[in-house]
Amino acid sequence: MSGAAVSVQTLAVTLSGRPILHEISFAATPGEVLAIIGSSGTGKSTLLRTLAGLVSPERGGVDVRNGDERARIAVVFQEPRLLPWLRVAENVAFVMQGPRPARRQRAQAALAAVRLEGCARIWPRQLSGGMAQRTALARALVTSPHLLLLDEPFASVDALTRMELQDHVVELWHQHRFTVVLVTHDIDEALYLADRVLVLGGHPARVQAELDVSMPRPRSRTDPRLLALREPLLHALATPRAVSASGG
Amino acid sequence: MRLGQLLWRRADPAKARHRAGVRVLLPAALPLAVLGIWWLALLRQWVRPYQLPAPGMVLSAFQEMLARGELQQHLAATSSRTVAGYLLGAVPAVVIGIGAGLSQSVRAFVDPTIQGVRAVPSLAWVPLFLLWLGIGERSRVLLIALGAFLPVYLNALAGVEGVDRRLVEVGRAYGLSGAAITTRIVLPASLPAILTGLRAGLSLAWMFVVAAELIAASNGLGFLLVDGQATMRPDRVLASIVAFALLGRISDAALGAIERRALRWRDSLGTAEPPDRTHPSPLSAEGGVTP
Ligand SMILES: Nc1ncnc2c1ncn2[C@@H]1O[C@H](COP(=O)(O)OP(=O)(O)OP(=O)(O)O)[C@@H](O)[C@H]1O
Ligand SMILES: [Mg+2]
Repeated sequence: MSGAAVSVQTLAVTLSGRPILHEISFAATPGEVLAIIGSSGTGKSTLLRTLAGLVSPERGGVDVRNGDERARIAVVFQEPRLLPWLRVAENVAFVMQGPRPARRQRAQAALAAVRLEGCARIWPRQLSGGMAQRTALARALVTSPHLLLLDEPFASVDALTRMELQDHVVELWHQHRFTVVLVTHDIDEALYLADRVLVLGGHPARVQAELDVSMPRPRSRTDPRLLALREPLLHALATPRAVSASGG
Repeated sequence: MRLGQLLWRRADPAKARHRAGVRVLLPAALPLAVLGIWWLALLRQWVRPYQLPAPGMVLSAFQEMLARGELQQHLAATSSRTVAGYLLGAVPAVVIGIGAGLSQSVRAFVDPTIQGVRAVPSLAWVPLFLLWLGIGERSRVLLIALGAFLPVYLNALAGVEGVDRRLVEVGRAYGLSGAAITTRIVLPASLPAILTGLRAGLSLAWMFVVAAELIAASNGLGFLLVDGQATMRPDRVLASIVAFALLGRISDAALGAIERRALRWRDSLGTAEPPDRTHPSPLSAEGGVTP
């Protein structure tokens, strides 16, 4: 399996009459990991929702292509969005197709991968915030997506679990080479995971800066080359309408 | 867990024992007091036995009607027309309510009319039903159906309308069809409201069966009420009232049990402790695991 090619062209999105996104253009090649950062309320989630087909653009367009086949898209929303009437394992199996036993088995495996094997039979309301978010991640990964859209998926877990989950995504990426668009507040997370970082900002939001992180995986979190990239990224975040930064 | 417990909760064994006593004694206190006053009123001759018979006489009237099979026959008549009317009202109400919640055009088509009908107190239809359908089973069942329809419809509509849009988006994002989103997300999410409506509809069905039988019937508990009044037998009237109470309680408890079973997932706050991580510290673990 491979990743989907994503192309966003002069995208403009208006919500309730308010322009949120303006003239957004970028592309992701199959298997590329793209991180999007930007301050709260700029429109990162809106951009991701547009990629997922949940928001229709005012102008411009989004194209997600997987050769000639339909691209499977999986989303981890900013909130877990589990169905409260289904047990945890059923929530994971919910998005899968195929015979029941196979679905259940894969759901169980996906839960084990996010360290929730003991929680399969409990209700979502019995999960902590981080556990619920991990369930949502399992639900996304179990569909073998071509495009994985992640909206701050690790925001509500502790630092150690976060690193563990990041590595889990990287490992799956190595196996399946899906394309990833990751929205995050965490600069280090963006640098650790992404091939490219887009900085979103302004009202309405545009792509204000773009940073290449051309480093092979597996990466080390303490790699000085990664740490050196923090500064241009922080700079791009702090200065509106910064020009394209580049590193690597 | 009760809201009160949440507001004023204390872990105190003495309090717990006190609460257990409260659970047993407090609910019985009021009925016992009423019985006491009832008995006292008769003893002091504040009321006459032909107005209010002694509790024992009500009991024996009850037993006598049971022994003659009279009560069973009236119970059966009342229950069967209530069930028929309830099904006739509640089933279309669920379907139409869900339809109106899902589709703007269905809603625009039916809702104004139903709201208009709702504005009329339902019993005001009785003379019309009697004119159209005559004094018979059909007009009684129709009246019960009308009473049951409205709360079920209103709750089903509100339930579907109130479904969390964010959950619907999950279905859309993962490419579920509209039909799949409806059956697998919208319906389960609106089930609590629909069940609330079904219970409200049932209690209205009981109310309307009384009305229907008071107005025109030759059998049923409502008939027994009128008949008891006409023959100056308050013991039989009270026995019928007790029978009504039993029917209402039993049917509501049955629906309640179904509701509790269907809505296990939201039963108050978390009762079970979520199991802790079954794994050792993530640092000592051998890194990410693959499914
Ligand atoms: N349905 C809506 N109607 C109108 N405005 C909306 C709607 N949804 C979001 N917005 C606005 O769009 C802007 C961007 O919201 P969005 O959720 O995309 O931000 P974000 O970058 O993801 O923020 P955060 O980092 O806090 O999650 C916000 O200013 C918000 O008020
Ligand atoms: Mg957001």
